[in-house]
Amino acid sequence: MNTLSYRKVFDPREVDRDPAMEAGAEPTDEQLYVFANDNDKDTTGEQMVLAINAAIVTQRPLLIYGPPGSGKSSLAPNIARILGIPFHSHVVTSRTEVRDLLWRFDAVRRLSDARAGGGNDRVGSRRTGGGVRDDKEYIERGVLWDAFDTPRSGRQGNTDARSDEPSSVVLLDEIDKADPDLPNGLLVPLGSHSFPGPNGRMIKPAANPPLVVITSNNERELSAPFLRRCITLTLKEPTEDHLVKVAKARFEKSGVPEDEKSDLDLYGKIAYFVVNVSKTAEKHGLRQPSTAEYLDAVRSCKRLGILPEGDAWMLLSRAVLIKSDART
Amino acid sequence: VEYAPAGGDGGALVRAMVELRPSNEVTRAALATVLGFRLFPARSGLAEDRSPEITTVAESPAKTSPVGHQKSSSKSTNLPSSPDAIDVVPSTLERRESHQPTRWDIPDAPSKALPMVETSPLAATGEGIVTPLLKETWQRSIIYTAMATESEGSEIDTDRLVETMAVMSEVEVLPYRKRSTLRKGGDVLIDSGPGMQPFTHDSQALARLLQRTMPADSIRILYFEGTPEKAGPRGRRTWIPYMPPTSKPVLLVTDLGQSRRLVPGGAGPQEWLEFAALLRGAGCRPLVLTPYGSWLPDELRTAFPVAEWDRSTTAGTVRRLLDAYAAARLR
Repeated sequence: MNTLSYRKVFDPREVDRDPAMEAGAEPTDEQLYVFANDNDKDTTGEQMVLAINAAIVTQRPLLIYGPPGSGKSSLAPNIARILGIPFHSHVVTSRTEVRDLLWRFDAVRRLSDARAGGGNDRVGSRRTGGGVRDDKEYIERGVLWDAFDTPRSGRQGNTDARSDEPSSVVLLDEIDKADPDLPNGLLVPLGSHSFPGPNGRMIKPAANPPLVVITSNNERELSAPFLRRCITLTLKEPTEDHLVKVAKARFEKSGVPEDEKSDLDLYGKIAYFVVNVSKTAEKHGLRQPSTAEYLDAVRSCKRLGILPEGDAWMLLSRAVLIKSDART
Repeated sequence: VEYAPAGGDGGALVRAMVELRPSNEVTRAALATVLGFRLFPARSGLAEDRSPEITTVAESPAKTSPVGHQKSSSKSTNLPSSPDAIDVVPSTLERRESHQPTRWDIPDAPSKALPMVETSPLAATGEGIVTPLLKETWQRSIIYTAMATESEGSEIDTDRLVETMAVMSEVEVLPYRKRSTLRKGGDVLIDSGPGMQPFTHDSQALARLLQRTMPADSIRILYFEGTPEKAGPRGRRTWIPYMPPTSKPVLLVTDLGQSRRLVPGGAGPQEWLEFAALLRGAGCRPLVLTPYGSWLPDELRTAFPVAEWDRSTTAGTVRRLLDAYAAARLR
């Protein structure tokens, strides 16, 4: 990872593991990320790191495309972990509206409080129902407000690179599930890093703006104005070598000598199987197994003592990787 | 890892160059690529090699329409005002296309430096089509307008709530504000009859765009020949009776049988009127997108909201057509 040379604000290791992890424990998706991707021999993971750095210094959202299970969603919490800054996330659905990400006023709860109370209590100069509290208590902050309101923390020290660090990382997961209104409605909040709050007060970041990471399975096209404001990055399907690297990083136990050769052999055989299943599935327009499912297969084989061959493996691979109805 | 073209932004490029201080040419090129610029090698001498007509860039895209062989030798690309203006029936119909600027029409940079050309994500939406019939920058909003429905969002409609409470009525159901959404989906019926043959690539590009704009599991794209009473997925040889989806939008991409005077095939007005009644009965909201708009008789224009499938059509045009159709249904 040495071809590209520049001042890195974000500078992970090729296999970046949370140093605070309990020794011997298996890391979660948020505690480990393999930045190298051998699919592109010329670039490995360094273009990914460059895109993240570009998104940080230009203060643009990082829009990540890629097949399911390619590590889109787990990248954001790992960026936050490596930078030592808070992480916020919101999974977008077809019903998500822009105000869900900014803020909303819980009128139902206020109405309920008002009808339950029925008294003549006062909040400030206003007379309210007995159970009604101050209006600000009915405001529910969305993930972008939380992110904008994050005080600057980050790692210790005050180097040149640290001054550019975002205040937090926000993940907006699967934006392509939303109506086109949603990305269009985010143009101003993400472009100007501010949005009007209750009573028109502008909500702005207290320190540097957050790094907004947006993922898309590319099921729906995003609008040109939205794309123009993003730094885009496409993750490809993992190769056999990459899968082995991920499994090795995931299951390696610090300080505990393992039967490394047989483990590597197991990782390699399952990776070979997964890559071949993926190729066949792609040809027939079927679902391809993801990295997470590959890890499930490896974990099952290790814990249950199953080798990737024979009847037990056929049943296991159908249940863990292929997942099609056995009748079909 | 690869980078999708996102449209370059000069300001972001300058900022990234200043902040990240790339120290070699490879890094500068990689950074420019990340920011949506596509790099082309300098092409010295190419400008002199090209003939003047190649470098001519059309000032405005010509209206594209089906053109039969006309009596005069006019080179106009406009659709004749009516089929009667054509007295020689052609053996085939063709769709004319004006010359459009290509990447190589962009004048060479004066210097020998690498020219950086902004790339548009919209360029990928019309594979095989140089000039989409709908204006590239408008087609998504046109589709959104044609296929969106009103449904309740998550914001309480305080006006309606206050109205209810003001007359001391019991609030039984909380009213929510309505918003436009594509969530409900709809049907798209594409005519693959002889009259629409010149627009096969346009129809396919439109279908791809619809699939990339609408939720994947909510849109049904069906093909038919003649009348959409029988339709089916693309490539199917046996078509089945079409059942309209209840209370959903239906987009019809068709000539409404108007090319029958040029080429055999296509349903007559009466069949289309019956089909309009079928859609009305199912509570569907139809919209016809047709390249033969100026030929349509009034009875079909009354039965369907009809938008011209050309570059003059906007989302506003479609909105007005749908509003007028809804108002007429209420009368």
